[in-house]
Amino acid sequence: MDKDSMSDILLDVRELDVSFDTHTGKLHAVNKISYAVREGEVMGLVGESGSGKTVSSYSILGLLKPPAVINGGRVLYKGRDILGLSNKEAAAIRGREISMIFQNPMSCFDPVFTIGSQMTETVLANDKTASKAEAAARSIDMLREVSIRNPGQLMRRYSYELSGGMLQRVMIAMALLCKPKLLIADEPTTALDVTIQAAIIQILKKLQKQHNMAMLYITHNFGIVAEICDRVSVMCGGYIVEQGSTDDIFYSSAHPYTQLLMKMVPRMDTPLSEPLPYIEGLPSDPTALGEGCVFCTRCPYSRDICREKKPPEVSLAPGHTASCWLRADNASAESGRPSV
Amino acid sequence: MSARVGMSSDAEKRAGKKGNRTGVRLKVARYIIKRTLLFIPAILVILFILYTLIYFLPGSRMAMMPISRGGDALDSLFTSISAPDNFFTKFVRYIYNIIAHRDFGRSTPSSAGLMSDIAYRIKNTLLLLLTGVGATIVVGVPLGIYAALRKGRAADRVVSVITVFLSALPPYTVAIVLAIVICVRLSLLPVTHVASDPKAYILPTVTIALGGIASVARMARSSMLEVLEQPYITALRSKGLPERSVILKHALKNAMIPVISALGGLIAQLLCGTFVVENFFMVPGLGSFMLNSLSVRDHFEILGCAVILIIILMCMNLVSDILYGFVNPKIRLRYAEKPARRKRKEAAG
Ligand SMILES: Nc1ncnc2c1ncn2[C@@H]1O[C@H](COP(=O)(O)OP(=O)(O)O)[C@@H](O)[C@H]1O
Ligand SMILES: [Mg+2]
Repeated sequence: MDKDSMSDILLDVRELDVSFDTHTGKLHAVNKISYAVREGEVMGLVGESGSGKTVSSYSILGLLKPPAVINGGRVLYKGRDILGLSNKEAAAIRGREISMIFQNPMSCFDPVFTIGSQMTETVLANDKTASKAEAAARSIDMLREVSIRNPGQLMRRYSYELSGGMLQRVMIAMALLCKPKLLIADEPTTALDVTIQAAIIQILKKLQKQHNMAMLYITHNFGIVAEICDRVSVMCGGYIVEQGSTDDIFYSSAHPYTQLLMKMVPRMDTPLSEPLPYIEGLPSDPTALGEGCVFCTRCPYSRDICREKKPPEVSLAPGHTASCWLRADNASAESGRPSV
Repeated sequence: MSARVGMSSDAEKRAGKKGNRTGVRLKVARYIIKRTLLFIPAILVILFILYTLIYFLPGSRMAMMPISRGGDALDSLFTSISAPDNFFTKFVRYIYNIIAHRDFGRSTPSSAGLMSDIAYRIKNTLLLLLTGVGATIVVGVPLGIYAALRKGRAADRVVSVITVFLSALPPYTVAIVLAIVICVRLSLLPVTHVASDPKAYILPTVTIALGGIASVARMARSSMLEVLEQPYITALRSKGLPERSVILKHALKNAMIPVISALGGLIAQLLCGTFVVENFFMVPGLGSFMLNSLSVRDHFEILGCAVILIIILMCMNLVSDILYGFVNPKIRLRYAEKPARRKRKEAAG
């Protein structure tokens, strides 16, 4: 794919800025983040818990509710700004153009309607010409695509009768019913059993290829990133701190946060007696973000300047950027990449 | 629902093939029948307790009056075994008379008995109760939902203030204020009951419903707010469903579950309201009749009225339980389960 071509950009998020009005003050959940997703590409949005991944993805579809406030920025979908659309305008995009699957499948289905009625309703809402029978047939076909064996019977079930893995398949099927161009997957396997996780990721990968659909894949697990993503944006405390192709991030990551996060993936060969790895220190308080780098309190390489000034975004290679003073110095000194 | 019981064998075979849904319906029908049959022992137990309490009251008419009607089957049975005339045989006679002769007994030989006007009285009480419950739901639910959708805005505050105010007012105060303002000052409606005038039912119904509206509106509001916070509402929106269907179809049905489950208690509360209101507006219903019986210490009438009120309440409870199963598929499945399994499950979880 031609990385410099701007024409195939499907979703272009620019300087998106979201905060929450809380009792303890303004909580800055997303700070002027920018990234783009090209057609047919899988973009990974990676970051620890609370780094603003969910909030930023909700704002794309207009799903945020008060006390969330969108302070600024633009979300261009096929060149059109879809931030702050009315309910009716947003409904025309949701499901048909951009669809979403969520972290906890158990709580994402209406418990008093059957799976089938929720699926056919989705088809009918997005395709006014479809008949009820067509909608049901399409739902059953889609359930087959996510490897559900007896879709006809499943249509008559309620969500609480099904397992989490089953529901996540159904949620994927439901999201893809109307052939969206972009699927936002917000940690779709985090709530599931490890054995089921792999199956779900395989299904997503297969369908993404088959439908040539772009995907914004949100996760905190670099193992999954390696498996599925073409490019990666790394989030920390509401900022995007590093961005690049999956290879850039894995083989020449530039931000200490990214490097630490990658080390945090538990490995099969670590002895059980050892504690699970974690990044030392507490994430900075999003209600009181200081002047410096968001990661400076926990960064093993932090210096005075890191606490005093926000690091600039430095371009390290085509498509690979990082916001870190270590790199800013090096970039200005025109030197190569020292390992940190 | 009951129509499903008499399914042809052909239909049953198809149901078996089609999966468990129709089977569940059959079992639910069976559950309803079972619940109805359970009324009988429940009523007998309640009757026995009330009978005992009244029988041993000082100066109880129940103990003093001969309860035999003379010359019926039970009478000849009792003479043949020369049964004594005591607490137990009187209770058996009392039950027998109700079943065989629809006779709740008389405190004085000249008394007309409970059954003389009973149909008319039940009709009046039921009319007040049902219109009261109806008005409560028809007004209370939309009011609460509206307030929830306007959470924090002026409309929500107004509804909140009104509902708190109304639920703090006892029905007799409301009745007095309404009567003074509407009947006396404005002369819009008659103060006391006129059998031929349907307008005479308006104020009593309003009085009964106001308290219910307040509590239903508050319940519907908080339940709706809770449902709107659920992840599945966001998920439904993300599928591109129109806001109207997200709110009025999905959120509303879920929000109704706790409201309907509280309906049984609410009906009991409104039934108590009818007592006060019937007396205040002089509606000839069970409540005013029973209060009169109390004041003349007619123990037979008191017990009879109590039994009829209890039957009404049990029927209403059954209806609200069925409605509850109707909106809540989880409960519907529970109804269909075998009681033993249900108990085991409850013990386990
Ligand atoms: N409804 C809310 N009210 C207040 N703060 C919120 C709300 N939702 C999220 N936040 C805050 O926004 C930040 C980002 O949250 P989120 O996007 O859910 O993180 P992630 O998905 O990366 O784990 C967190 O600090 C969280 O506490
Ligand atoms: Mg999240």
